[in-house]
Amino acid sequence: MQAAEKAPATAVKADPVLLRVKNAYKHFPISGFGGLAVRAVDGVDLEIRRGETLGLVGESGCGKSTLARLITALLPVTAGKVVFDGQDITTLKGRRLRRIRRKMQMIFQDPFASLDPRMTVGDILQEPLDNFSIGSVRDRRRRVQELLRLVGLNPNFTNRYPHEFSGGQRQRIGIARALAVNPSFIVCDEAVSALDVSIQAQIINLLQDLQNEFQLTYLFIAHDLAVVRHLSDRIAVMYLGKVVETAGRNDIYERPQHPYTKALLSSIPVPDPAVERERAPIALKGEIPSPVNPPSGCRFHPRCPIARAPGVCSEQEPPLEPHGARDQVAACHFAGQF
Amino acid sequence: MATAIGIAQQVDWDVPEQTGLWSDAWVRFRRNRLAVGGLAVIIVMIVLAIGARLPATPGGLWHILHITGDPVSQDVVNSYALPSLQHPLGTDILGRDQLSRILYGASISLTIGIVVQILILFIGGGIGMAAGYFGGWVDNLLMRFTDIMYAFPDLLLVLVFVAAFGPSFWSIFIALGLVYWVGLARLVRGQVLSIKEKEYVEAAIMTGTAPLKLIVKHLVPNSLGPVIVTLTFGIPAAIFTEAALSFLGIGIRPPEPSWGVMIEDGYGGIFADPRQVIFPGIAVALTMLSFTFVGDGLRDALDPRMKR
Repeated sequence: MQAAEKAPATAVKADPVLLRVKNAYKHFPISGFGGLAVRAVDGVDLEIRRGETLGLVGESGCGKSTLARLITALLPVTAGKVVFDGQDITTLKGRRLRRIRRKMQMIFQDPFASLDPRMTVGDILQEPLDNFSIGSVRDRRRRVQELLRLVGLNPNFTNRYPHEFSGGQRQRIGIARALAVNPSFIVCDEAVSALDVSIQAQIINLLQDLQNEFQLTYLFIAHDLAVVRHLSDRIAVMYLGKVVETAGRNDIYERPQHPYTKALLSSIPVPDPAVERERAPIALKGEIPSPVNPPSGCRFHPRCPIARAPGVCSEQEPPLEPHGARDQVAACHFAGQF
Repeated sequence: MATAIGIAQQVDWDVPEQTGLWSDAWVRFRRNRLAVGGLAVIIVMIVLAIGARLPATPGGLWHILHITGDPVSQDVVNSYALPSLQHPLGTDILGRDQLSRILYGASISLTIGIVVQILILFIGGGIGMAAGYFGGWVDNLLMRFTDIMYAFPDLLLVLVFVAAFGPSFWSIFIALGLVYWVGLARLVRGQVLSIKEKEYVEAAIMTGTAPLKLIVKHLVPNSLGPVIVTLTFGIPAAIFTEAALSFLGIGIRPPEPSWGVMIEDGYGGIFADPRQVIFPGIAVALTMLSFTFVGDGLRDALDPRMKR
């Protein structure tokens, strides 16, 4: 058993994939409704490669944030595996789970809710260092200052409280906290959605600089493709608890294979007014269906412009299969046929 | 803020001493005059209460101040005496010195008020925290138990406990603590349930914070505000419950005075001599007011967003 565990460990070093999500499910049971459950994440397969930024996009309520919490083991999976650096983290508990947090961090969506209002910035940033007993107390103080400087804040702000900062500054503090333990992988859960557009650009640039400096791997979650395009190497599109398409950034923008991706892309405004006038956004019919009782077959078929229903689309669930460019997968019976 | 980046470049490593919530809270507390005044009153009362218990050696400080006559020695001829130099607050129905009874009673009433609240804090706070933090069947078990306790008439339950422990000074505290934690448990559970869902708690878990540290550093400080308010209002409630117990014959045994007992006793003759109720009533009111100011001050001091 020991030897069997050792052997893959050495093989892992060469593995270009840092994190694998294998057929992950997360169902939140609705109490009092006899077995009904919100299927927030319903069978997701995903790979994140070392050093890349994977953008994850989808409408509100499609399960992006839940998936982020499965990946970071903040929520337990209902079924499936999350393999990080060769280790299945869904089975870890207590101290062994906490040890994983040194390599994997998260930047949260709401900069006003993600900092404890009763802790000084210094305490907030020192907490991860204390938790992992990194360096002496004096080292930790210095590290806190270094972190503040790294994210473009005044290092003498350690004795201030979060409410004394603006949203953008708070998000920088959140980023500094994520960086404190020198992780290799950071999940950015809509890290810029709550910020003004001008501040968004600053934070995105900061994230890119930090990625170059520390060879970070990002999972960058957002609900619009425009923000993600700038930052991502590859992009995964989620719909109603499932990943419907994954591809390289340029491939997905130039040759989307899934009609949902196509619809999302068509909604991005174009800066050129002439082109913008010609742009014909694909307005999807209806609303996103309830994740308690997702549609049969392909879950997108009730809203899909090319679906054949009743027919194969409403009867068979399409698997994620290679379509279009190299490295591009889509879950559609008629991928690319529009 | 504009110069922030400029300063950042030339940072020197001799940084300001790092402060935390509790040291900052003390600084903020000291700026709150009402709270400091309340704290001073409480300290004075505690000192006087202790002093009243010390033997009054002739010529000693307490003796000279006349504030410790004998709280139990009767002088029936001199009953209902008006305030005089010898009896600054007059005497009661049995001619006992009111001031010394109030000071002597302070030690009992203050101890009951404070110790019972501390007991409630630990029992109710602990149960509420465990129910809210662990959730699931732990929550169900603890809260159903709490509901059962809530359903019993308070005073009856206190009687049962006192009877079980045997009547003594300490069994009253324990009985009151064992009965009156219910409200606080529910309050703390509610607080913890809402705080647990906050993103900063998730963030703390994400940075590797162990459960116990999570409770001590995040959940407790953030749920303390309403808890402090509840506890301060619990102090006079405990003082009066003790009086009710004395009335039923299981509290402080006469002739030992407590504020509650004095008010109960004086209540019968309130029209004949209202001073019997007014003076101990003022003592209770002053105590409650002081604790309320201190409680408010503490609550505000523990909230960094409060600017004074």
